[in-house]
Amino acid sequence: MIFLVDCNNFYVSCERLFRPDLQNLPIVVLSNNDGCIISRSSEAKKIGINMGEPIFKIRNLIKENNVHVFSSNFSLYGEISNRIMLELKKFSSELEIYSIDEAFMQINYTDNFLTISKEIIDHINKIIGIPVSVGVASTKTLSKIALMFAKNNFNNNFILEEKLNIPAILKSLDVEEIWGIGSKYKKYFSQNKIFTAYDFINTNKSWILNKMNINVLRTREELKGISCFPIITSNPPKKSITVSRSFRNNINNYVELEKRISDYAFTCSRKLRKENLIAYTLSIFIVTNKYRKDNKSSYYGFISDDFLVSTNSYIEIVKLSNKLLRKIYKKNFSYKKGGVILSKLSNKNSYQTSYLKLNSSNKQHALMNSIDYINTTFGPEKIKLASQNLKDISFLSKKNLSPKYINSWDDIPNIYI
Amino acid sequence: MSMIESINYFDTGISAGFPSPAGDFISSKLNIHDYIVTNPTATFCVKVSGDSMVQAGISSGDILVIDRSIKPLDGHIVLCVLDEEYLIKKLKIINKKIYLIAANNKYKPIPITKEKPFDISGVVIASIRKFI
Repeated sequence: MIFLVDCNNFYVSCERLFRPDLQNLPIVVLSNNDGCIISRSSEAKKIGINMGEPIFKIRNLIKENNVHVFSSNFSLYGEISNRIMLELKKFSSELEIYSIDEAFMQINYTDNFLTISKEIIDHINKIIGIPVSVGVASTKTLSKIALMFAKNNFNNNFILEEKLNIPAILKSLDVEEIWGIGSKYKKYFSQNKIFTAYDFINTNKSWILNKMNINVLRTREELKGISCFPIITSNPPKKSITVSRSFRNNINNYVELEKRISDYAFTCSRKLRKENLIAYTLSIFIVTNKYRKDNKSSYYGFISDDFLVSTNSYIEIVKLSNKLLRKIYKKNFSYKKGGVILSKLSNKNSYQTSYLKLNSSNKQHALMNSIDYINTTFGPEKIKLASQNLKDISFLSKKNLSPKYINSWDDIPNIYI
Repeated sequence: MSMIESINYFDTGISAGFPSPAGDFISSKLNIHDYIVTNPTATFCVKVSGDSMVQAGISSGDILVIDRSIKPLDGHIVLCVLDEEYLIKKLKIINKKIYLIAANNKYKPIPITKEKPFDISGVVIASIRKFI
């Protein structure tokens, strides 16, 4: 059977982990740049705060109800997530980390699914302190449905077994609620009077293939209990790495823009190095504010170029980014967003060297490793390249950032005894 | 980080004389983390201030290592939440009643009652104090 484990209001639960005073109070967590709501405690949901809502629209609601607002603290959430996944592996080695707060597991060693799902919930709550829900079914798609029921169940678990009335459950479910279906095909479904998941499983195969695609057909089979999406235990190799962000304020001069692009290129290189990859192609783009009404002020610049040989050097990547930026930069525009993309990635060990570079490459290699060492030991961005933003302002606005309770010595909880 | 590990790397194959008899043993080293932490995923640290646990060897400024996976027993020093506040005290069970005992005569034992919500977050497994 497939066990889908999902953390309840994950980011909010992480914020609560070392704040016993916030256990039953309304809390929300904001997206990068403190823009929108991305996680809500059940108390915040009851007040009527919606997912994805921009914070500026609900300032009054937040003030009136004394809602605690947190900026997103992804380094804390990431560490807690790692710990949860490691603990889940104790229940099954066939584990697919589906997102930061969700994992599919194959468990075949017992028939007592209810007991195991309870054990998982209790274990994660005890060892990590994060509440989770567990949905169990014979396929991934059905386990997603089981999870929806688990979330509304007092015990936070639900077993979708054959002895249950599966047709009745599918009849109670809107077709758009099925995992991987969504609202894309709304038109075709309503034309053919397909409204519920039950209507969907009785559709015609060739009609699906004709109007939609093979994955929709696979989803239909999964709803019938035929497994089509296996558990993927290892991540497929990355095809590209992108760092792109909106600027807090519009940028209208070249020097500032170059600093941002250098920052993004540096972060992008760090991600590349962390995965032990090297890149052959670099692309950058810059965008003006697309919501501006006058078309004259709108511009989208995109450019790609290849390195001489694949690289993972901070210096080479930032250098080429700046060279490309000079080619697409246009004066008299005010830019809202920019990004750096590394692609044609390969493993570091399959490095094809060029005779042009042999002399310097060992030195470069040692220098790059030293940069990584210093930045992981003493904090990110302790060493930067000169074209980057050297003032210590981060490009993200994070006014209500919580401490990194479990992954920074400076941030561990203080307790008065 | 590969760099940290490389500090302890010795290459004994340089000279043409006798190889070092310790050459085969040099790779073993003490790791403080391994000594203190047995369940890494369940372990975290807190910094304490206050004098209520001095007689148990816990002083202001110490860093305590907490393990959530250990079952709290009578006599353990625990990190707990009483009425939404963190406390670090010795757990004492007398006649099936739970008490939180300070390790300092200045403070009275705190009986656990149903009126105030109580939960044990983890067991204190070590206290770290640096002198320099």
